[in-house]
Amino acid sequence: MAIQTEVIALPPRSPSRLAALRLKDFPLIPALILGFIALVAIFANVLAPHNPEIGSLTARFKPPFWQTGGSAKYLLGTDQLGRDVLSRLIFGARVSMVVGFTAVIFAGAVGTTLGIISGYLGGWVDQVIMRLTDAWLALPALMFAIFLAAIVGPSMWNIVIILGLVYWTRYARVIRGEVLSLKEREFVRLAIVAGCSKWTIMYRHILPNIINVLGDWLRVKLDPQLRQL
Amino acid sequence: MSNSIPSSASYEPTRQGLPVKSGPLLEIENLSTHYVSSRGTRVVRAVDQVSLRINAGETLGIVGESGSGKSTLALTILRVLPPAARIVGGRMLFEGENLVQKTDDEMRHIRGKRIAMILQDPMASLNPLFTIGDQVAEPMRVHEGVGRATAWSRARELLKSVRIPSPETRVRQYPHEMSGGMRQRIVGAIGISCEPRLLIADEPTTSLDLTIQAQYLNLLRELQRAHGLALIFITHNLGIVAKMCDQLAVMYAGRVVESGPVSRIFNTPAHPYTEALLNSIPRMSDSAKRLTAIEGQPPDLAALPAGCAFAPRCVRAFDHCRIEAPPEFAPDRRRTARCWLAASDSVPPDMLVRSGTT
Repeated sequence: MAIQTEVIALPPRSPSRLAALRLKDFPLIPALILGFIALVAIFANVLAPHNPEIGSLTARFKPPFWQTGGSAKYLLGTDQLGRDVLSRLIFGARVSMVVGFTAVIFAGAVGTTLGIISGYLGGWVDQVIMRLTDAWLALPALMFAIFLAAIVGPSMWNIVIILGLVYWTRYARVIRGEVLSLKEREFVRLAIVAGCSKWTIMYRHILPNIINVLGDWLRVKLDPQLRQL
Repeated sequence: MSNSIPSSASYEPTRQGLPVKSGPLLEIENLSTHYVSSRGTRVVRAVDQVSLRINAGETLGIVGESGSGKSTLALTILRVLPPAARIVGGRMLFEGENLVQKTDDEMRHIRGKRIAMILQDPMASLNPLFTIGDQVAEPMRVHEGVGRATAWSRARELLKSVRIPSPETRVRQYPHEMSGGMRQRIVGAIGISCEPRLLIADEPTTSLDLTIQAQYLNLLRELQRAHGLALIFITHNLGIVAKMCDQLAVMYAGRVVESGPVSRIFNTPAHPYTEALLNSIPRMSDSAKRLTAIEGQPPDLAALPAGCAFAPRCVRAFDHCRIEAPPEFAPDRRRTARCWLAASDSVPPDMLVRSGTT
């Protein structure tokens, strides 16, 4: 008995190198928006038509150009001190970017360090760090940040440090959880029986393995941080 | 090679003799490690009154059921016990130094350098994020402070010695690019990288298929011969013991119930548990019969029966076994057995408590 078989042409396999370039799942629109803001922030002093901090009192409360009384000189109008709103917006992007990124990185560094130590060492160290985290989480974060800012005075680096100190707790929690499962992994045990010190293990075996979790969290936390400013 | 026990009753080990130095490399005396629950209400005697010795270049096999304390014993020797475990007594003399009294920092310099260990699951023992070279080089860099370049060139040598083909390219690759057998040999290379005197292998072949197992065991033996390593081989495969080991210790419920040279234990087991273990191995010659299993369950280590722990399952138990736990008797020189039956065909017990005879 003969069996008829159909010849099915397999779809051609796409070469992997090209596939990577096809940007299939790449978030193109968000990347363009962010890229645009980043470029504006970087080239602020070239792009801004006026000095953002010095205005002329003769040109106060100018409306944007599309309203009556507005002019092309002040595209988005001026504020109560006669400063150009567009220029202030452009320079504001710079501050937002710098503060957002550095604050998140600072908070991430503090939180990761404490999280790894807490999770890996365990015992009373873990208890102390986690109770501190609990207490910290109980404070209303932004309120606390404003309170601290009122004490040390408002400067950009103060804000970075304050935001870092206010927001490290979540990183510590998440990282600690990740470390708890990592430290039971066989390669960590092998490092222990090979005589590595605790610090070597934390730095060489734990930290690299939590980088992807940390990366996700940095990204998640960066967004509200940028919006707050 | 085969993993089955030769069917003939008079088994002789095929291992070539090694020049054995006098004086044990590691001597364990009355070592006890207990797991204590956080309130101290439950005490699990995972390792209880264990005495063992191993000479340089020798292989000691430790067999026993799951939960008989084999792995805890290994972790105790390296002092890497989980927080709940306590060494409650005994001595471990390694090259004349008592490991029980070492500080954590001193122990760290012994681990990986003078005593190395291969873990139960070598497949997962490599850090996925570092190259093979980095990981083989790590103990050398930690213990001997050698630079990266030197450590890497030695890592290449080590990979060659564990028969990794083209070590030059392999050192730069990552664990996921290796097969299971290769990863295992790499873990072996990490184990011997600092030329330890003693290597503890905790069921290193359980996750491998039989042909790879055979290759790996041959490799371990070769490395052992080349470096004069003493090997503690923890397994529940008596076939591997027959192939690999000079000495054997059988553990049951945290205790060494019988110890001595492999050939003698296989020929004339002194403890009914050992006998039952040997009888439960399938043999090529009498395939028709059913295998003899050991009835019952291993005891709960937190609530051991009075008397001998094996008595409830022992076919030859008599009244005295259920009242008093037997001490270690010596049926002959170099052998011990924790069984009252062993007492009858040797000298009275108090003459024979181990410290007196060895």
